[in-house]
Amino acid sequence: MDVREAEKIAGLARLSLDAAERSRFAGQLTAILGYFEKLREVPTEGVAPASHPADMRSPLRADDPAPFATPLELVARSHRPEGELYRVPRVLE
Amino acid sequence: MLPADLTRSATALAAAVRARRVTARTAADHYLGRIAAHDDAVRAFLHVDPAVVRAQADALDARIARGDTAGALLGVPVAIKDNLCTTGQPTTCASKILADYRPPYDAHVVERIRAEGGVILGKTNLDEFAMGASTENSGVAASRNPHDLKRVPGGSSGGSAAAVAAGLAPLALGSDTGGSVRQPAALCGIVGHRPTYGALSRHGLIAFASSLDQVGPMALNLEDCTLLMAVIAGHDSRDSTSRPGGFDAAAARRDDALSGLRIGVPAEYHSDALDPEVRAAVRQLEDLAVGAGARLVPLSMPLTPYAIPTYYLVVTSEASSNLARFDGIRYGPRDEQQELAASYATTRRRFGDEVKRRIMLGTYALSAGYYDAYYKKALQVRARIGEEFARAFARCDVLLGPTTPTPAFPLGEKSDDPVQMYLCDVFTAPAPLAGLPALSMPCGKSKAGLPIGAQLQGPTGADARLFAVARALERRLALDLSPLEAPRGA
Repeated sequence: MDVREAEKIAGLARLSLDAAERSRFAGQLTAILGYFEKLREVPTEGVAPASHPADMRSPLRADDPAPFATPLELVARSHRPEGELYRVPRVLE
Repeated sequence: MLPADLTRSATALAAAVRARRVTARTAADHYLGRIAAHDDAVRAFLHVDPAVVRAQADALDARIARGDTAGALLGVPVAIKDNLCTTGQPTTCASKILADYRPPYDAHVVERIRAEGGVILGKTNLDEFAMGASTENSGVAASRNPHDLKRVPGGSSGGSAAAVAAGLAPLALGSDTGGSVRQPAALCGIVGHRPTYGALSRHGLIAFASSLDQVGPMALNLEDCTLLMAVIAGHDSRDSTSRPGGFDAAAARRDDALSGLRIGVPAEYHSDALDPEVRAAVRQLEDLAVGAGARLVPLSMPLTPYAIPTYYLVVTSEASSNLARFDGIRYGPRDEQQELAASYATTRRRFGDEVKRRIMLGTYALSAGYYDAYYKKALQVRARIGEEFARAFARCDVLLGPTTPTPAFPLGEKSDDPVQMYLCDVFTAPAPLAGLPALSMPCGKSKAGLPIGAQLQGPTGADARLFAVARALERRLALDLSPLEAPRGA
């Protein structure tokens, strides 16, 4: 991963890196990705990907609505609450 | 001060409070006093509010005075890792992005502790967002190993492990994504359990990698760990991965667990990279088990060395998604800019280096053009690792090996080399990938006096079996499992 790629990935992840961080992370991530290459040694053709533990099955229950007890308390703990809303900077130019 | 016998056993402490031999307030004051005396050196805690602790204890004593002595943890203080939500105390994940955040609710496991008469003692240090194996990635300060203050306590639940080992708390909760309960338990000489995926609710555990995260109990000995596990395990509808059924504490206390037990010993757990003193301690445990009627089953699990790259691809991918919520809008401070996107990016500068690295790795592994080569490949190897465990458990009841390749390492030794730090998880990363329970127990000390941990792993749902086996081994080992009188190596 070079510095330009590090900058692109940081942008996708909504991270803002300074020049020193870009250079440091590019080097470290290159080393880590190089280590990950080890996985190529494992044959996996036709193996179904496991995004969860092998025998994980989501337990089912009746679809009864159960509202969160204290939603306003959650909002009140934000940086700029306004009643039941969050005040945010403008989204569009 | 508490009598020494009560500082060695949370179970005895709860019984003594129930019998009115000591008050909950006496117990709380004992541990607050220990923290005041020793935590400047150990740095296990991020937040302790003595007034909040004493108020909980006094309320319990008032209830006891009325004749109500219900509660398995009556009057027992419990330290809580700071990625579990608590009312009345901050919850920060040791991250500047959640500085001073105070959740409006308790995590399910914290609710359970309070309901059983436990006292929430304080919030313990961790690697930021539980990303690390030493607590050196904490956004506040590194915790120290109380057995040698120049060494790491392990991580990410290093604060919880150090607190219990140093006698600053009789019990603690940690969380284990790839070893974060077991590895610090091993390095600090205590017991730590990673439950079967779904055995307890993660409601109120701040998510890091959702297909792997589990809350786990940490204690000085198996009996105390059983006590805490029995309180926190069980179904909760607020976590969609929570399984029905609870923890069979009676089975965990069975005393004939070694008789006829088939113990799998994979050759890969004893590679040349294993520290000789760790190897010797684990071999001694095998001999003890055989002496008590168990049988060793030699195995090969050749995918073991591939668990770390698999784990780190899964964990960073999931983390890049989970940590997207920390943008200054709903939680924590915001570094406000005129425009929303700039506000996100500026606020997220508060993340530490390891969190940024992992978010970037995960974003990269999930990005167009790399998804198949990295993320999908890792999920396929994950499936094969699950199959390898299934084949092993067709031939044995538990797997026994070291928890960590070495005893505690010096502070700073690995902090500039992420790959070296990741290799600490070589024995602990496989079980979470398959959702399996795993427990670390003390099995000896190095010549330098550093604790060594052994790991037992079992098939899905075999948590109580692991406790019973570990308990039988603990009794035969007859180690001194008392907390340290004072931290060492200042």
